[in-house]
Amino acid sequence: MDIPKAEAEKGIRGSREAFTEDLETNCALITKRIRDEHFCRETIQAGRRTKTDMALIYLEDVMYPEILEEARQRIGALDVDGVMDSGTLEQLTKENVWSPFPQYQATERPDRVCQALLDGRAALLLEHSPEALIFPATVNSLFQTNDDYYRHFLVVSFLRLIRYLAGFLAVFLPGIYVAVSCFHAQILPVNLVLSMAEARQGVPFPVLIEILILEVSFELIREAGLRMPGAIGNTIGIVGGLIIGQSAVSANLVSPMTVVVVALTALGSFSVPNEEFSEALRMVKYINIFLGGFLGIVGIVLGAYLLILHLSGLKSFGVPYLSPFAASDINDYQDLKDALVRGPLRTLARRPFYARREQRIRMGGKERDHVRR
Amino acid sequence: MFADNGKISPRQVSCLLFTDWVGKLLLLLPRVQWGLTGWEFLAMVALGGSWTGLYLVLIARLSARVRGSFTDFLRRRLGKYPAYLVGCLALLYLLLNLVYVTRMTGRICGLFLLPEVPESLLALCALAAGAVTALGDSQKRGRAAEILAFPIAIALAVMVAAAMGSAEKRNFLPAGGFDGFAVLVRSGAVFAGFSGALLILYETPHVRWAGKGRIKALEKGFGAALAFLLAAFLTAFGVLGKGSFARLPWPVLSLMSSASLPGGFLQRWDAVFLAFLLFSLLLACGISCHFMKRVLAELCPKRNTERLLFLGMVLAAFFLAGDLNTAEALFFRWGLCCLVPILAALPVFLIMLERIKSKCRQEKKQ
Repeated sequence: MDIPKAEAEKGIRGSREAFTEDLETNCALITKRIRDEHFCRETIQAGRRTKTDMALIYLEDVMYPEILEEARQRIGALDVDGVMDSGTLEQLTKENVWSPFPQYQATERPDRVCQALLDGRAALLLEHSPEALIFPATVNSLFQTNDDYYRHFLVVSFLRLIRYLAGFLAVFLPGIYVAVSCFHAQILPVNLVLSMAEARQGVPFPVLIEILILEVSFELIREAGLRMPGAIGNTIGIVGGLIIGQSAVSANLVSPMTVVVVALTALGSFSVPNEEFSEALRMVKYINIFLGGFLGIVGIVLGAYLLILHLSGLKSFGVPYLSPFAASDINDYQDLKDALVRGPLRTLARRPFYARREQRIRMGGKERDHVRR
Repeated sequence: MFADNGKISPRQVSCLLFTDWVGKLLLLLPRVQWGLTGWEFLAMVALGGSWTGLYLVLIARLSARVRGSFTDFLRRRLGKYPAYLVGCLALLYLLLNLVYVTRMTGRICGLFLLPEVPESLLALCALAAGAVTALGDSQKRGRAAEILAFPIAIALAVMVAAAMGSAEKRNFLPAGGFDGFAVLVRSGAVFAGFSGALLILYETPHVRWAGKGRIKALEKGFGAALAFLLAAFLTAFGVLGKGSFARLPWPVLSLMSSASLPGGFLQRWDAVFLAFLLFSLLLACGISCHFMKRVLAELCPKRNTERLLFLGMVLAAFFLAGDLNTAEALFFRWGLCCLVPILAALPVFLIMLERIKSKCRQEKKQ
């Protein structure tokens, strides 16, 4: 069977291979990369009628047994007539069903799964599904790409900071813009306020409505582009982005500043590497727009506070979703070396804290001696 | 599992204490200076802080003896009714504290950020955020505090550093005499402000203590909060002068207005600093709500009754207090002056009781 190229998770360096829809081929893509005697594959069937095969893969000596046990229990408790895709499995075995944030990390790249296994995580592969589900997932892992480990640490650190900034923009930028325009224009320098006011001249809607119109239009363009076949999808992007945007500004329906804000927000959400996570952030953005529109900066602070609180309460198979930013002391703050920024590979001698304690050291040398002492 | 044990770490306790105290006390302490000059006020904060530091050692020692819930511990030591009485007093203090902090948040937001929105609505938002914080397990709050503590500390440090440039040397020169007795007496108010530490005893069974981690965790959170308070007040004193410092209701907020960063991108940095302070105030509301729920859960084992009581008490207190002035008067008169001394004396009494009991036991053996 032909191995397709990764489309959704493109990288600059590293393998171009992606998973196929055949479970055996997918497992082979993993085993050709990890040839360890501790590599384990458990084959499970899910769905009373479909009897879909799935593989639970992990490194037996590295993986925490409690996490595995919980995964087995959740899969074992499934009582459904059919599981068509890894997405269905994800929904059915999720810990917090009300949270829009992904509690698994879906990937189409075998090298990503292998890296996760080496970190002490496990993955679920499903027949007829070209994506693997890695667990446990954390906010930090959802902001990472695989070529983060193939490139120089300073470049990667810079890119990670950009991605976190992108995540921030995707959630808060339109809300902050609405809050500042409606309530706190005096925060900004006079020249900027004047140019914003000039740009808004003739626009009949309040800023809140204006930004909602553009955001919803953007969602429509995005959805239409996704559903159309390749070439037409691109055309929709051009028609939507350029022609409608330009016409809306010319017709005084929206101000150019709002177009810039929405475009920056869209770029921010596209820069978040994980699609499910990006979608969740996009949803939260609308709450922030309303909070900013009604309560200004206080609303934005309230939104941010509630978001932090929600994420603090989330767990993926017992692992805090916000680790290593929270609970970083569990692994002596070592996980922070591979979080907002990444240290040189030589210093990443320890596996993350969800790996088995006796297998935490992945690289020899000083670190191993230090830990032994 | 490694992190999923329903308990918070000592580091998270430090962060909870820091975030709870720093925002609340930056606004509260200047309200209790009662005519002290700048240096006297700083000495009052430092002295009150020292009392608190010593008191925290006592709390840490007592917490080591608490097995199970604190109410059970009190029931074993003092009997059923005194244990209930202590719980009720703690509840009353928490209620007054919650209403005061929410009303203060409403007033500050109304005055400095949103004059067009009614203060009561803003206070209600803070109350709602506090109630949401109380939902879920302790780990959630611990992690949120851990995440928020760092940005709050950075923002306050930047604010102090940025405002320091506007400080005038002559404001630091001592003017007039130094009333040591007044400082000594009023340091009690600072001690009372930090008195939330006592409630850690209710949280003790939900903390993953390790060795000497208790004292270290409490002192770390307290030390960081005290250092920020002193730095902010010292800078405010230098920038505003003793006259303005004594007259202004919230000198730290005026300090924020005088802080500006080079580059001139924003006209009003105080809105940004205030936003970070708001995080601290929201978490302080949340911590009060959480402790209220914890105490209620220990007093009434039925979960539905506990929830109804919690909601009823919070809403009733909030609306009965009316406005900030009433809430402040109630909190100062009943909370700080009446309830805190009784509650603060409790650990001392308990430790003394333990000692007397152990001495009696030794004598009996002999």
